[in-house]
Amino acid sequence: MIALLFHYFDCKITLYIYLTKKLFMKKFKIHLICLSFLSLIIPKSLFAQVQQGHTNQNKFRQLYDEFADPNKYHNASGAPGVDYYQQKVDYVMDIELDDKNSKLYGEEEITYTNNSPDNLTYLWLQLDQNIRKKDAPSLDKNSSGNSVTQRPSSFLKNYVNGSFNGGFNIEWVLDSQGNSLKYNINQTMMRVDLPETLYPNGIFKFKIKWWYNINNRLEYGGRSGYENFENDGNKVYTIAQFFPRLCVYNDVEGWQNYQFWGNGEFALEFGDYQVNITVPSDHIMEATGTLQNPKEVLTKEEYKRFIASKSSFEKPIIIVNQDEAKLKESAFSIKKSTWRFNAKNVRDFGFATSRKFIWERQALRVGNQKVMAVSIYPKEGNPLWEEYSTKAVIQTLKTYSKFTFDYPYPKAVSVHARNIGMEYPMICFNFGRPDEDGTYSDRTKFGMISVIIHEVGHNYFPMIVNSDERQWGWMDEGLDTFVQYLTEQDFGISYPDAIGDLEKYPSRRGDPKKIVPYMAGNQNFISPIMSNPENVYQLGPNAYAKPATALNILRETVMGNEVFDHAFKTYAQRWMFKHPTPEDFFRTMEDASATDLDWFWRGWFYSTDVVDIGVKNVKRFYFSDTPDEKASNRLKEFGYDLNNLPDMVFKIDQESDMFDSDLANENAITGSQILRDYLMEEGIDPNTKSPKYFYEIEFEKPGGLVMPLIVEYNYADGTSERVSYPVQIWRKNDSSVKKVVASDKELVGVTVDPDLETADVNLDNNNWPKRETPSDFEKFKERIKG
Amino acid sequence: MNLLSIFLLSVSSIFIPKKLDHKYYVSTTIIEFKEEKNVIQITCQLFIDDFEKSLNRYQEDIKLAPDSNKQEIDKLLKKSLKKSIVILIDGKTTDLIYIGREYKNDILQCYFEANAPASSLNLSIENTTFFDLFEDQQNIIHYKNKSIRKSFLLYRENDSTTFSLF
Repeated sequence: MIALLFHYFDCKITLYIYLTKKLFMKKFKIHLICLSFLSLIIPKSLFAQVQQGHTNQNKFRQLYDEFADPNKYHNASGAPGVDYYQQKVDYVMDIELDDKNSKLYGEEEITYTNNSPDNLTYLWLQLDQNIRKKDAPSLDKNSSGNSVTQRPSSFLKNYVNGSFNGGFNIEWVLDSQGNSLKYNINQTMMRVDLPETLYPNGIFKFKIKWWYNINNRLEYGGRSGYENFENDGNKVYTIAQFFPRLCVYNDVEGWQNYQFWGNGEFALEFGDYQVNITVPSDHIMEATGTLQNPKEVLTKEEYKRFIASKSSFEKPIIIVNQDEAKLKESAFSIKKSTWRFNAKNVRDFGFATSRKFIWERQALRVGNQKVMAVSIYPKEGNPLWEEYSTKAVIQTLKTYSKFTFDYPYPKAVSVHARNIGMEYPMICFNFGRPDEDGTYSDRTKFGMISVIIHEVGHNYFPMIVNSDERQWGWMDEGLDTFVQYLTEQDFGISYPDAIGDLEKYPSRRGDPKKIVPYMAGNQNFISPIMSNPENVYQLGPNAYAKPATALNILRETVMGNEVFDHAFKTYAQRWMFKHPTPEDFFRTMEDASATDLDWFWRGWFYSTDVVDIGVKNVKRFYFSDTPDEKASNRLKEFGYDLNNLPDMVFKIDQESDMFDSDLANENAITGSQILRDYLMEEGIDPNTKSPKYFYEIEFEKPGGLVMPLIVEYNYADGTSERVSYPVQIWRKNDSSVKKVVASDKELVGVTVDPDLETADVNLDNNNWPKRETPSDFEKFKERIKG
Repeated sequence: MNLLSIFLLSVSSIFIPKKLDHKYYVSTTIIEFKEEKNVIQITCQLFIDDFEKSLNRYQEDIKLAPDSNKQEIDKLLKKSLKKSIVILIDGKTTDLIYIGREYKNDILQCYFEANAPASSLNLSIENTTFFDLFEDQQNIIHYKNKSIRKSFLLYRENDSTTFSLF
């Protein structure tokens, strides 16, 4: 296609010369001109005032203003820069659980290595438990207006009992010689003042002693705590954020000491852990790291099974079975055991302990590594947990490793904890409890499998690809939910019995059409994905579902699987055991794929725009040697003598005064002798070789997001054709574009986004001829009628 | 229930940050005005789990999908949803006619219809579904007629909205 652009006073006239066949271009002795006055702009106010300019608002402009500049720490290709550094923090801890009073005591020795080029005069530590202090500001972080409804339990909590008496009690902070260190606590952050400046490459060792009251999770909420089983008087402890932990210090935030308000999760440094945990001797425990003294803490029989499990690749070995666990429930041993765990290169530590635990382990190979897939659950989790937990762990390790890197840790543990899903390195706490009679619904089952996949998957994001959760919830939740979707689909294939009659695993998030109710919602309550988790209205869709869906669309519709998968894997491998920023992700996805995605990040991540693309108009046209009224007028304006025109042909569409429906039913060039002669001269039979039907199709884009234009053309003979026009089609006109279809077949239907792969929020304009998609309501009513 | 209804009237709430991580509480109600038929069609999408929990307050042994007792559930569903979803057209309370319900994976879709003359101007909706169950429940309302769409988010502090039908 050749376009000639004329400027005539302030009229901008675009003349399109259609050359639908390459052959037409051979000789240029006649003009095939279709006058199409696409844009005729005569600003009325031109003479009244001076036009105001504007900055670049094109949807395809690069994100130079939004992105942090690349530098020596985070380079322009999205990889760690030449001077990238991160601090190292090692912990040696002695922890003791007072089961009876639900208190946790600890002493920790911290070795802080300053790998930064900066001099440090203080260190910041996170005291996340302080969110449970009676006077925690986070208790008052929300407005509490005139609500008409209230839960009775909230009433009790809010006005009668008061809040839980939690939070760290810091007994002392000492240097390695035993001298007191000055410290100051501001809400959930503790500053420890260094006696001397800590220079680059310097190491500082210090110790902290603390204790706190463990919260009943079901009463007071929280990511960690205990569940009380009233029937037998036992507790299942799922313990995390339980010790003062070093904040991240880096080139991006300095100290990342944004307070813990409850939604924004954690930002932590990597290091090595040696943790000794003392509990009643009849407890069974799992934790981050490798158990160092199994022989000491297990019975002879348990130890035998524990060892056997290391080579059990086919099925899990039960270390403690249900009968054995049940027997212990009433024992309440007063003896103590100390479990010793070591973990290398982890960013955190969590553990679960109870005498109610059933325990199973199975080995699998991931790359060159042997990994133990572990499940630990009270009998209340059965029969669901013995059936699916370890299977879900194994599927997660396989699929995530395929899309990122081989799982580098020695084990992955799934712990059953009612009502929550929460992740820590090598260990996570997951919901999914059958009813008391042992029956469970499909929802409970799929909910449980999905949450295990999600939480075990968090080992990759953010436990290893260690983004800053406090600032960017989506970087771990969104990426994790995306790979969770892929894993769930794999799970359905690996275990067809688990999904029964369903065609595929019923993933809750990831499918583009499922994000529509959120994205089509009231803009006052929608935040861009690039928002701090504390400040969004709907955290679930904002940090989990929308970014996961966006990545799914990127993979399936924008980039294609192969190109996307390579780039995604590159990101994961570049940043494993490091701290990536959003720009590192965005840049790597482009750098490793040669796909400019600034338009995608801008629209999906930095704005709350929505997809709404439709087909506005379809016009059939044919060619004529005689100009219609519109063309005649235009030709006169240009000074042509209508009685003496050069060889030109004219487009006659349905709106033309000359439109002749009889002629329209002939071949599109029947009415143009000039074209027919020309084709003959070129040796082409105009009756058989030239397309019979010509259509001009106008697409509209009321939505703010630009997306590839996916169209299905349906023809009278029952065939159809899919065309995907690149997203760049919108770069010069953000509201509507036209395409010509030349075909031997009559066009009877046009559908935009026929497979609902773009999250289009309005399907009313997706079809020509206009067709109302029957709503679920109408379909249902029709069905019950019949 | 008595205890609950006392608080319904008088007590303002304080949000305790209760974290059931990775789960969020939301329902979607789609209201479509069919002017040519003089009706509004209401489609209410609820998580089955949430609804089961809410019915269990009336009757502990109720199970959904598969249903423990269809008639009983229909009865309770009508009762509880008509209580939590109140629609006024031009200021007058409108009777919601229950059409039926179906399951879509983990979602329960309930259908209601209400008469609304084509000349109607405004619609008010109060949707307090699950507000008594979950502290951070949010109820999305989508409205559409032939030519326009509107959307609202209702939550405890802002549990109703009024809008023009055109």
